[in-house]
Amino acid sequence: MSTVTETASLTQSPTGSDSRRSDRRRSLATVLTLLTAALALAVATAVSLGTITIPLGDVWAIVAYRISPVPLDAIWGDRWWSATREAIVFESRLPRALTAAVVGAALAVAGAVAQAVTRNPLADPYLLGVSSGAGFGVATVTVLGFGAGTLGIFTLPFAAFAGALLPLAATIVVSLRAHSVTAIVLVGVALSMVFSSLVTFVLLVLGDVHQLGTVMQWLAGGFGDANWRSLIAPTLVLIVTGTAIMLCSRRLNLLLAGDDGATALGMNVPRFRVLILLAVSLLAAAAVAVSGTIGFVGLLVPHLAAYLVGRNAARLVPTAGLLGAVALVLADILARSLSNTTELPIGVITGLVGGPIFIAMLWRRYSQDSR
Amino acid sequence: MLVHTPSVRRIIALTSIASAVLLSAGCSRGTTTAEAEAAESFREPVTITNCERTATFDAPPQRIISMNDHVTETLIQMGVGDRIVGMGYGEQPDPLSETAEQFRAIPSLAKEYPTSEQVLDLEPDLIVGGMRSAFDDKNGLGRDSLEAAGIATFLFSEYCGQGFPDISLLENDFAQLGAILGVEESATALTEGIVAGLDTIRACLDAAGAQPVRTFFYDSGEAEPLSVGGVGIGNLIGDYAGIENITAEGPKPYFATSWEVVGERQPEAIVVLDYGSISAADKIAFLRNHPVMATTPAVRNDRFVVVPLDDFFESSRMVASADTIARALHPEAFAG
Repeated sequence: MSTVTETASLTQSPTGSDSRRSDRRRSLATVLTLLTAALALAVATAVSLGTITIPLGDVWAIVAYRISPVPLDAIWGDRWWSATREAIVFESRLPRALTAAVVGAALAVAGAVAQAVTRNPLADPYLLGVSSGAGFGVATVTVLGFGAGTLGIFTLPFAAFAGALLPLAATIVVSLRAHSVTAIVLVGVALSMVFSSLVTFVLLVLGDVHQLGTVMQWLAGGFGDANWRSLIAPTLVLIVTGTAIMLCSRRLNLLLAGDDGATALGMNVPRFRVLILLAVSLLAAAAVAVSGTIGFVGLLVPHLAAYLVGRNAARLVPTAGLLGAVALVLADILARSLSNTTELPIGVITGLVGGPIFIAMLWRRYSQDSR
Repeated sequence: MLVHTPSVRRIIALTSIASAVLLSAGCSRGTTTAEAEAAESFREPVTITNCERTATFDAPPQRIISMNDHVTETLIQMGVGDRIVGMGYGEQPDPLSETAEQFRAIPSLAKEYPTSEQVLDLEPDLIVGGMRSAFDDKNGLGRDSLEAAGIATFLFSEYCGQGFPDISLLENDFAQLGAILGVEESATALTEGIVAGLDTIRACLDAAGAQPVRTFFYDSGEAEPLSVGGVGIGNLIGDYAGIENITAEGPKPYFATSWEVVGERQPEAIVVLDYGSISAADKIAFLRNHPVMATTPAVRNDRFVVVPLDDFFESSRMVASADTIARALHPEAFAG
């Protein structure tokens, strides 16, 4: 982008006058601080709770022993818990909570940006067919019979990520010719359907009943197989893409005002939009690869965030990210603790809890409007 | 003329299938008596209740479709293999040796289940299923619609919904099948053989004073483990094989639990069910690398037993899986 765009966007920020701006800045800082505290609390709760009960003192002693730079065995004495409990807390619950946070943040950021760039309140991170592409990757690999042996525990995440890139590649090809956002989004919808059909075909025609179970469970989403190593990739994608998006926030704001205005200020709107949609899909693909398709977070959380801090991208994106992280960690806690022998699919929780919250929010907003 | 051609063709096709079956039946043992019994009607109609459905038979069915491979094997063992006109799951590469010859002679209708058109086209008078999925409404093969079409149905009670609490379920099923097929004696002999096989294993363990080994059944699953609950065949096989199922509180034959629960219960051994595209070796590798499972005595002492899922059904195959597990975990009881 040209320097003209940068200066134009600096002077034409939609946040209005200087005094209002500093007010909002302060309130944004407050919101972000509160959300960060909520996230820390949620992660702590997630580590403390599970399908088995481990005394709180043990839980935090385990975490302390593992993360302390000084060996605590010398100070507090020998570990008094079993190796299994230590593995449950530190190798399972903690990376799981952090994965939920990263995936929640990635989906919410992706959703917020997707909604801004398409000016469509129904846009979500999967709008370019990422989730059905990922499902196709998982179904194909499962049915073709690459077990845990080929790439180890990364087989399904890798298949999901590779599958997610298929519809994305097709969208890029289309966008080289068609510059309209409507065309791109419609191509995404069409590709979603194609890949959903392919998933069904692969499973029902080529696969057998047991493979169906494996893939259905994956499609339902969840964090049961999260571990430290699987946390690395989505975290890196979130940091890199999130930073890039924050750097583009002024241009995103220009788009809110309309394509004509943005073009008049020197932006290459179609190219910017395609790049941003690619970033959205990359975030979604990284999230889907570790957790399966988790619906609703990417659609709902950006609206809640906008309700709190407005639509200015520089404010909306970090708020949505933190809110998404909190929401998914809480949803995962519910998924793990509603039944004491098994875990519910997290998609059930995000849908059942998120749906009513969404409706209540719309209710408040539109009943105020009509007064 | 044209209108008649298809049906003529079909009659020819059916006749050739029938003669093929008769030819193959001629080479196998025990069929002459079965046929002699089968030819006539029952003196009094036979009424049975299967999965809470009552059915009355005036004569033994002569055209049977078997939907699952363990059902096909069981029917062959009862001596009515020559009456099976087609089978689902017909590509079982490794049927029980005493049934293999007849098994391979029966027309295989599908890799899994046949379609309703295939089924109706064969004009069966009885369809026997070994899993609930055999009678799937969506495939047009629901029991109601088949019975409305005049085709009797029988489902192995393991999948009636109440689980498989003890061996009397098999005894009852096989006695009913023997009665409606007019082969009571061979059905009884088959049941007695299965019960004797299981009792022998238990007697060996008792004689050696073997203590139950706390065992985790691993069916599949990475995010969360699918295991064997307290009401299914796995739990029952475990009882005979001298193990204690650590997830016996599970309300279903197979159910999802969590790695936390399994790890906390410290299994001493793991039975890995082998089927489908993920090999048993891959499943064991996964368990070894799982941070929680790696801390359990079973993984640390490398006590894994692999059992084919094919041997986890209501049939004589359950003796094989009980035997495999018992010998692997209690070698001392079988040393002599």
